[in-house]
Amino acid sequence: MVSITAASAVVAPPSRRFDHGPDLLTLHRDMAAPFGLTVDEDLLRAGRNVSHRDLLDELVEAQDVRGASPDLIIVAHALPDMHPLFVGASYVNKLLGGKALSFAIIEQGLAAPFTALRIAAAFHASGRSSLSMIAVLEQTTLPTRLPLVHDNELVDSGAVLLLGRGQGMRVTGVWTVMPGESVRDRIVALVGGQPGQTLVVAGSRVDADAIPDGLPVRWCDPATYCTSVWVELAEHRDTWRAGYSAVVLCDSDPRSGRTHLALLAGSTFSAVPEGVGYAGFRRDS
Amino acid sequence: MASAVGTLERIESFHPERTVDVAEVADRLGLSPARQRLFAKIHGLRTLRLDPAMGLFDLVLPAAHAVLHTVADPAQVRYVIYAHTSQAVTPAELDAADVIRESLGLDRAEAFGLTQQNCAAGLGAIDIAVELLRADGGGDARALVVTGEKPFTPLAQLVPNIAIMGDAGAACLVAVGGAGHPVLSYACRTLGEYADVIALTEEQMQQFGQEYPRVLADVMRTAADRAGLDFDDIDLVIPHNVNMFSWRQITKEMDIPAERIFLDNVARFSHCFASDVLLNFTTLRQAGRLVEGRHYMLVSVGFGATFAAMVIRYQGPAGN
Repeated sequence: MVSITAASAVVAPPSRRFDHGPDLLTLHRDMAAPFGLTVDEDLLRAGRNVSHRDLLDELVEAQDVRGASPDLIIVAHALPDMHPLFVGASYVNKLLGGKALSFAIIEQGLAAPFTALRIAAAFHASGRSSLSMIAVLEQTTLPTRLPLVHDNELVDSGAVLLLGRGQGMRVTGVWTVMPGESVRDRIVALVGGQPGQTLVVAGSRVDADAIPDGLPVRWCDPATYCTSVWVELAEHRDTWRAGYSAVVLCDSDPRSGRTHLALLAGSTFSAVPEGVGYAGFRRDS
Repeated sequence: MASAVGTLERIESFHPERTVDVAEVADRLGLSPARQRLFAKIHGLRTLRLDPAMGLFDLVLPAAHAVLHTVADPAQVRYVIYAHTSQAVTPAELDAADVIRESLGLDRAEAFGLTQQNCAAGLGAIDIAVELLRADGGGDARALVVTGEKPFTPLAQLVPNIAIMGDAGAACLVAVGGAGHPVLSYACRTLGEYADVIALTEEQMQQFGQEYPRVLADVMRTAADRAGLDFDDIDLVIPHNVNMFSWRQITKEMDIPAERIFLDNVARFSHCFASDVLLNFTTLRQAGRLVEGRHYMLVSVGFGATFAAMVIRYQGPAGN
């Protein structure tokens, strides 16, 4: 089972200069028009103009990540890069040795990094990866108004996780809870009866009633969307590993109505109960 | 020979009826007569399919519906993977993969987009689908890989001096241990120095052109090797339709006759982003040119730059 061996995070880095050329503005306009939307150039000029490249540069320069040579690199994001022809996964692949299979998971809202974790675990399980990297990126400069971003004052942020066989919390499973199903019951089923304490790390849009009674909960910064639980994990994983037997990452997407869970286990955590039925990464049928 | 884990159970494609001369598109893009001659004479482009009245999802969904129609229980489809070249095909208001999932009525499937392998993303999506299904335990679960996108803007329609893009969509049903065509290998290599696609200098473009045949040939040989085959065991390469010149370079680099690569669709369809290899597979199947029990290599390259090759064994019409 794969473990989180290193991580880094960045939140609200300094803003950059607006540098959209006419070709890029045309691209944004041509993309928006078929969907009845109009590009607002003022939004771009007023944005912080922090690109995926800027976030990646900072994330991979962090001490814990610098010099790593992963064989699998997955970029995950919910909001697109402002430079949609820049291939961030290829770019970071080159920065980290150039030997990795690299790609991006997108168009799934805040579920994208959960899917990335599912994929990384699958590649580890089949023996095709021994060290993988997930980069969760969120840049907030958009050419059209998006209430999720502009009404919630989201900030630019990102997190990188390295996953391998070293010391660290083990990735035990990833689950999707559909609208109308009980998130609370699912968490209880996953961690109920375990020795030691379980911490729930909850995105700011998770319903408070979804957290089972008695479990400590850490709420994420509402100024993050896709990056929420991953920034917290990158910043606090060592403390949590020392203090809890398990950590449940939990986030609810207001766009899909789905809630996504990932269970990270410490050394004292026993297997997920049989009745829950997820020896690996099986999800509900 | 390598033992297969993944299988391709159904492959379908779709393209608009409307045919346009490449010269007309090149003219509209403002290409000089010299550049137009390059695409016509050297690259061998003649026509492509292009229907401005057809929206993104009109293009993408027909092949996906056709594949899904063959699935006994749609609930078997656990993953919908929309693989595309342009990293954004809709504004941020929409998650295209989720629109596709919802349009197909796959209420409980996980749907996500796969990008940043550009035109090689279709093959990458098949590889990822196999790994996800394998980790889930295989069984009846399936993954639906969907491709197709519109050349919605000049930056998406033209790869300078290399390709002019057309309309097509495709879909592929992936299983673990199913009755479809076994996937025997996948090889992939990324050259990240070409990641900033529109900012490449003339010198970098020349360097990419020089590296292209050597790297792609190496990836193709690696795919054959991982399949436990000699390259001579590959009956036919089913390629992306980037242009004739690039494939002539490959035949020279690999010292193979041009007949080993299926190039008929380059002049007919031009380059249709990540859909080419699946589109070409269906063309060959309809023409009766695929032979049961023989091996085929699917090959694509994505600008940015990712080189990918996959070896499959054709199971005959019963395997679709």
